[in-house]
Amino acid sequence: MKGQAFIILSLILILFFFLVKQLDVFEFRESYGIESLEFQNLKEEVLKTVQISSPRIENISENLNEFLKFARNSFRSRSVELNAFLAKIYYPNVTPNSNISLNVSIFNLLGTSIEKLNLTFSYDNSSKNFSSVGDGQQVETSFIFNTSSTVNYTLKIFYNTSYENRTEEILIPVGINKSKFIGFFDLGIEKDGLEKRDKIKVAYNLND
Amino acid sequence: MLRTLEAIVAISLLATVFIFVFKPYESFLSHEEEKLTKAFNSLKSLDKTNELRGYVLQNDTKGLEKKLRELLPEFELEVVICSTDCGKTSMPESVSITYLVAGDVKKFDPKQVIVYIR
Repeated sequence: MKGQAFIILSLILILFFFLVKQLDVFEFRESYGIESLEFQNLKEEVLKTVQISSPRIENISENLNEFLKFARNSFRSRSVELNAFLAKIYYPNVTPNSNISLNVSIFNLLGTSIEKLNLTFSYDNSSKNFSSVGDGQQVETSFIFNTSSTVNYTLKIFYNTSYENRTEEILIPVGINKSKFIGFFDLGIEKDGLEKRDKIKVAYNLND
Repeated sequence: MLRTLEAIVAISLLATVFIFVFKPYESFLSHEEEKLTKAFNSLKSLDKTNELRGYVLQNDTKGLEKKLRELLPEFELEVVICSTDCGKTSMPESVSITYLVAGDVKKFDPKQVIVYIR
């Protein structure tokens, strides 16, 4: 290689450095650290909302929706998009050998419509299907179970949107003489095409 | 010999440009980030000691500002406690961090605390 080639190569690299700087790649990475702290705060306050709102299940469900809409507006004012998928599961006090209703609410805040939503309950493998659940909408349904002892069930959730197919399995611990709220919160923030996403699972005794 | 000299010139050129283009830029951002991280950690520590939610739910902006000034004496700061319409800061050339609060013990009352610092 001729010596001048080193200089030409260095000039090309210098041009590349300037282009990278213009694209603000490094600025975003630096500033994303602050959004990480704010995202951590969001997750803690979602859990706090459950804690504050219990033991009334109506309050837990409504307040979670309200808090996430509030948080979305707050993040939007900082040009950060907050998206969330909430599964809120509740059963009242379990009496042995009685039919108990497992109530499920799915709140879509993914920023897009859920085209197809399928819920399957492991107790009897029964399924419920929904379609076209818009952003900001909630669907509610229930399943029945009957047990004489402590047992773990699973709720399998499948949903698809225009950009993803997802399957989640949520463990539902059932205890005799217990009433529980089980929450699954899939939260994500997005800025300039970069995403930070985390899932939170919570099981909360309502009659302690 | 000439080839070595040209290689040295190329490397020096690259190193100089890299240092001048990126170094001040990154250190400026790190400084901003450091300020915001300190402000965030101060809010978090006030939250852990159960002081923050009291200030927020009583809309005690002045009280929270005073407390934060004790924790962050090196910065000028302004605190805004708001629900939705948070307005704009009166402090130019500042950076901000937002801390969400869902409520206190048994009262759901979502608010945001915005700390502007410079």
